[in-house]
Amino acid sequence: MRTSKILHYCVISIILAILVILQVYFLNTYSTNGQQISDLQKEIESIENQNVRLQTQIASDSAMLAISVQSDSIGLNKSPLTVSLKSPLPVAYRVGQSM
Amino acid sequence: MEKRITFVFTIFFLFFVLILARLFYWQILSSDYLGALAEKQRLITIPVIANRGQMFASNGSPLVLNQKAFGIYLEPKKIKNKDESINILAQSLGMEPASISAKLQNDKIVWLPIAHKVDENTVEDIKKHNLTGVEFLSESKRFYPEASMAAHLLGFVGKNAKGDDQGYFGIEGYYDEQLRGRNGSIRQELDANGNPILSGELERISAEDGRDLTLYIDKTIQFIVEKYLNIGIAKYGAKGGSIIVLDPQTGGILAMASYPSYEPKNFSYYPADLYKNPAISMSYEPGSTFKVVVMGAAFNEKKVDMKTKFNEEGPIALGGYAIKTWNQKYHGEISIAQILEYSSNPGMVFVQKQLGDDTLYSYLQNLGIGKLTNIDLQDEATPQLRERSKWYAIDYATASFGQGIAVTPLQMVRSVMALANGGKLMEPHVVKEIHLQNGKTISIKPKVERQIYSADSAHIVSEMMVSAVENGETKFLKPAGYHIAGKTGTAQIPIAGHYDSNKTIASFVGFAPVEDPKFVMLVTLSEPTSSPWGSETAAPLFFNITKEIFPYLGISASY
Repeated sequence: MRTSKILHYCVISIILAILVILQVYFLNTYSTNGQQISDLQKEIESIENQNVRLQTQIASDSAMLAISVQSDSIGLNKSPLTVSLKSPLPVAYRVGQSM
Repeated sequence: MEKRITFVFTIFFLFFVLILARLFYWQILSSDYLGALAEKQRLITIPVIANRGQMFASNGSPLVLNQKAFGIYLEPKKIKNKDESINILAQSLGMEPASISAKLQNDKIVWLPIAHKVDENTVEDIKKHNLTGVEFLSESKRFYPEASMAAHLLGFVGKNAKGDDQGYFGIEGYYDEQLRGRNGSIRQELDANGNPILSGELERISAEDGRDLTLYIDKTIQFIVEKYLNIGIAKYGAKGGSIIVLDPQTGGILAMASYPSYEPKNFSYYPADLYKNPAISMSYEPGSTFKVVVMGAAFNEKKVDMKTKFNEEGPIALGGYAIKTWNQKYHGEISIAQILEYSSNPGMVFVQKQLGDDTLYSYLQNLGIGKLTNIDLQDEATPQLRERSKWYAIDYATASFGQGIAVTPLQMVRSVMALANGGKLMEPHVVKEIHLQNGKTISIKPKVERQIYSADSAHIVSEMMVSAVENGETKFLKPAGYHIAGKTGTAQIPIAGHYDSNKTIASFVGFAPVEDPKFVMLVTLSEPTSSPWGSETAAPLFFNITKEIFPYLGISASY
């Protein structure tokens, strides 16, 4: 009975000791890798900035004015004749009275 | 011996008291201050600025985005070479050196803001000079990929009294609360080198970005409208003008443009009176375009029908005034449809008499004349509708052909929209959807305010408007094969109690295709100089725009 109690305390002590060592290890590790965190944060910020820059660049290049200028410069013109490929609509305007 | 012991004891006691006093001072009296000082050294609070919501056209393409910018600050005590720093900053920022040096005169200033929302390239240029005492703080500013397109509609972002960003005019002003978001902060423990400690204290209040908006605006139609408005203003020598294009089924604004305009990016370079959107705030007499609204009321009340005839034999005398036709020509007996074709003022007086004074007034009220339309733009204004007791017989008569009554362009086009969509008065809207940060979307549903005309009455007047286009003065302007309903308007401008015969507001209102209207459009030109008439200025502009909109919307010719 007494032996098992001692064994019980020993196990608890070993676990506590391991936990203490682990805590010291992790605290020590995490508290000294601030530079890495800082670098990662800068990288995240840089990538976010790049995304914003790309988004604005895409928006600029696909703007109506930009497309219009480019289409003019390569000689695209408005068609003087519109050809309807749809079947003609009925002669009556809509359901209801007519004049 | 005893004396020496007492002396040493006293010295020790005094030291003890001094230490106690110092500890009392540090731990009790200055504990808050010293605690805060230690916390400041150990913890850093980084503000997380919320991004303002962005705006997109109906097809998802961007109209307003955010881009990175910087605020530039000076720490005067750290500046080594003041003159050189001032010159470099002034040159890069386009400022006068004197304005910067004047701010630096005060020695007590430790942190001096010099410029806000400076773009990245400029900041990179300044950084190359390695100036001491110059700090850059991250900010965000608006980016307009379409430059000044839809400026009046979008509004702009300026600073309020507290120095915070605030939206003014248009959508920016109306939806400011939705767009601005909520700033957050990160409070983090730092090591001796100023790097964050992962296992240390961390308190994060997340920033909530503003809500993005999707508009009813069709970027292509907006582009077409602005292009032709600028061409029209130059061609007809007009002082200004505006064009509104609405979807008659939803009341959504497909395009809205006004001239003169401004650039939202550089709004401060323009006079403040340009910020107001004339399309929703300008008060004008609609002239003959208003005839279709009154005609709709007369048909709806069954006071006239297609068999009704009117004898246009000369001017109508009323209350000491003579009401004449616009060209002094009289056609004898004409049909009700010809009243619109000839744009006959005496004919409309006849229609108004059939309708009755009270009924006309109640239609004006129901159409929302004199009331705000509740469009979701900040700067809407409306002229007042005079009280019923202040109306005389001549007022009802002139109102029937759109004189002596004031409306805004938006009120006018909304009234005609009710003819295009089967009689429903819609609430106009610019924003279609609000996108929340949690991924949900709030759709702004089309709102029918009330039924003004029966569907049949609306159809009859629509067909009369088609007839007015095809047989009236605009018959050579319309694209072949399309049924377009329309009406010209030329209203003189009232000045100091009389009408100026040389100054007019020329307009054209219409919708197409009549079989299933996809858009309703109003073109107004202020004081055109090439011709005062709507049929020679606003109407060609209207038809030039429709000629481009038809193929874009895939609307084919029907005959």
